[in-house]
Amino acid sequence: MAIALQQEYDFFLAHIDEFMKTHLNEFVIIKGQQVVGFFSSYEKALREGLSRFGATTPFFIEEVKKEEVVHYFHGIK
Amino acid sequence: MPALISGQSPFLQENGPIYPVLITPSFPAIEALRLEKRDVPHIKVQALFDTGAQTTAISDKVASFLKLTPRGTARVHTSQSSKVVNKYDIALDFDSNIYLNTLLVFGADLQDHSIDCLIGRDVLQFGIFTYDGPAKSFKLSF
Repeated sequence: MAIALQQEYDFFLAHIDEFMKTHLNEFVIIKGQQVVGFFSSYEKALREGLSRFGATTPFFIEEVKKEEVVHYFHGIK
Repeated sequence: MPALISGQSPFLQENGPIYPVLITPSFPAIEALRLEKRDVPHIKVQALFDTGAQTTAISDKVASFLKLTPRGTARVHTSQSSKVVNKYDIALDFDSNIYLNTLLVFGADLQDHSIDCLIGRDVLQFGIFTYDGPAKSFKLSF
């Protein structure tokens, strides 16, 4: 399936060092190339994004961490 | 008294611990869908408890059926490749008493097409999972 939020993902990776200075372990919402805000939990970020953009508009939420989290699977192609 | 999920199968070794689950958008997303007077889709699928999966994943087919809206991306390593996949928020319902109302999962091309959900250690961390080979049974208690 196509990656829907590639632009936001690239923006996040480009600014992660900047985010870490003041928002470590917070959850950022990014839409396009704009930071919408930082939140203390995923659910708070999700609710804010839904409130701003509605139920069917994609927006990017990611936790600000020192290293990008890489996930490991066995059952995925 | 702890909540309990249990299963038994003569083919437990061949198929693994499989359990039916109901998947919907997350509860916050359902609230937003209802505010916009949209339908709230749901689907019942076979899920595999997978201690080898760090994070729960759903098939791309389920993500499409539920019309889930992407909430991010993640880098995933498999035995064959490394790729970037979409992330979605869902609610996972084992039965009426045991559910997770907001769970961040990956959309993925699952190898076993009879399975549409891999329940990973992000869910198992909340409970005690027991695999009983001789009895061909398993249980998860919270």
